[in-house]
Amino acid sequence: MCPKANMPCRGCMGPTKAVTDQGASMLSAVSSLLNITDSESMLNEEQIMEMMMQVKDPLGTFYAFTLPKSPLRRTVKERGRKG
Amino acid sequence: MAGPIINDATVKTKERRITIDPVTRLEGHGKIEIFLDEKGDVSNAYMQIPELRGFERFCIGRHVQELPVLTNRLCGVCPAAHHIASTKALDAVFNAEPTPTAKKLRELFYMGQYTHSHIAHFYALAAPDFVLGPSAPSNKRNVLGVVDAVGVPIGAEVIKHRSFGQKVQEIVGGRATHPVFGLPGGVSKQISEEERAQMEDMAKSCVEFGKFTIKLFHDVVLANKDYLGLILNTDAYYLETYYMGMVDKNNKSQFYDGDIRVVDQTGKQVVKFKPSEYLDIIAEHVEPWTYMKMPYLKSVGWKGFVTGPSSGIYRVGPLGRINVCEGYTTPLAQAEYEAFRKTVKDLGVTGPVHHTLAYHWARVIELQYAGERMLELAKDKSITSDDIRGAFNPPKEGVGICEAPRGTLIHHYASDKDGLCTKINMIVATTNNYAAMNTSVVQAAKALIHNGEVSQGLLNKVEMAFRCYDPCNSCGTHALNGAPALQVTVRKADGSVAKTLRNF
Ligand code: SF4
Ligand SMILES: [Fe+2]
Repeated sequence: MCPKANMPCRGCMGPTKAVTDQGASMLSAVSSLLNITDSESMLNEEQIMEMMMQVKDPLGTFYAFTLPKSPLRRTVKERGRKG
Repeated sequence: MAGPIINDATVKTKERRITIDPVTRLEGHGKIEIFLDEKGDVSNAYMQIPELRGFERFCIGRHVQELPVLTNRLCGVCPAAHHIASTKALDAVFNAEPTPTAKKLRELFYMGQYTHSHIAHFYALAAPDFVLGPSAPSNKRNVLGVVDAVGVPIGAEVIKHRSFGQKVQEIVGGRATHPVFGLPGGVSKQISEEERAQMEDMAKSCVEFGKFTIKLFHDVVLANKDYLGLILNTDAYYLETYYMGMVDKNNKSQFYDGDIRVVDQTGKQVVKFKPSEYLDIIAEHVEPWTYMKMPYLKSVGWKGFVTGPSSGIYRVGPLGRINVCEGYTTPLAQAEYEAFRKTVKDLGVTGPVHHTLAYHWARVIELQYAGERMLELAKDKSITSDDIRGAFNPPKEGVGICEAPRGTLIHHYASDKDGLCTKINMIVATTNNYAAMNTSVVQAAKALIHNGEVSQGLLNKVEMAFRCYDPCNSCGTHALNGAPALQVTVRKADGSVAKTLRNF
């Protein structure tokens, strides 16, 4: 619908059945655009940070309509309970 | 069809506290608590908004140009209003002047919003009180009861024109409900000639439907002396407040763009301001018993739930707009405006109309205007131009204001250099009216309930005092299919529930 009005799809109808964690899937898609092949281990923390900071609002961009389905929140909760 | 039922039998209650929860035929949730004294007269009443939503918190850190799409989720009825105020705020944040085509398209789109929103309020939410009567049995006092009374063909016309409003939003805005087309300095979608022609046809029909609605209002409401009596009842439905609304440079009423004008109880202009100046004009008061803030005029000050020149309470929405303007730019709306002014003049009113139920009349005049303005814009062949996006600059801070169907709507954002939102403040239409609505509820309850005598009809007449403002408390419809869910809880003085009446 939105692409017909020249606007990007933001996924407001929620993730499809095939996706468990839309944000993680998007991050992995985006990271495949970065020009790194088997050299991650050679990057230092700062360089990784610099790359990651190119995505300005990962939560709002990748999880805008899908956070409730993501296992992310559950994981955080379980760890919180143990600790 | 049987005549409307104005009054019903009362029962005497020994209780000291009456709760109407949920109150019905509004957008969102609300609750009225009425407290009685020993004699059974009303000592006080509150209209509470028991919801908290936190939009202003979770918009922080988001891309500022996403806000028109995020904030429009505030509501299922007026998302287009939020989208427009938000897009205008982005114009200001990005210091971007929209192109002439973009301005026309935004306004055309916005007339779609007015059309479906005012139709929904008048026919589905207000008409049950006027067509069936304020004291009709509550299982009849709903939109289905109205269709029963006026006949299915009229009901079909109502639904058709409501859908025309949505369709215009869809064609121009990209989606029928939550639009996506607003960009700083423009819009995202160009209109084809077929789409323009289709909208011209729908707009023509909306103009006719506006005429029909005005006639219906005259025939059903104004011609009925019981209703006229209710409207003119200055004990129950009359507040001398300030008024606020948008006007053009000739003080004609505007919905999409203009300056904001404030007049006093006599109609004298207090101030005319630009969106960026709103914080100098409006301040907000907080009460401990509700989640909604209460704006008031800063220069006058907060004096509690009282009216008159020394209290900063003002009203917005159809009554606010009709009281601050000197007419409309389209012929049919202007003619009805003149009829409105003449009627009140014959009653001795020359300044603003303080009769709360006159909101309904102002609303049908605005429905007529929206149809006429929609037609003017849809006829203009230049709206199919591809000149839909203007230049913009690095983001900073800015304010956007439009007139939502329910009143003046303010969005104010600030952005960091990366375009992420660092500050957001929104004053929505219903919030502007909240202090006045609460005052209206207190006034109606005090005027209508005596000696502990209550009935469903009387309590509904108390609800009518705020319903005419068309409040949108959450910005989200709560009554599925329009059938009212009414629960009245009668409480003992210690707060325990003595009796519950419900119709669902
Ligand atoms: S899923 Fe939502 S955001 Fe995506 S195209 Fe459909 S309506 Fe637009
Ligand atoms: Fe709303």
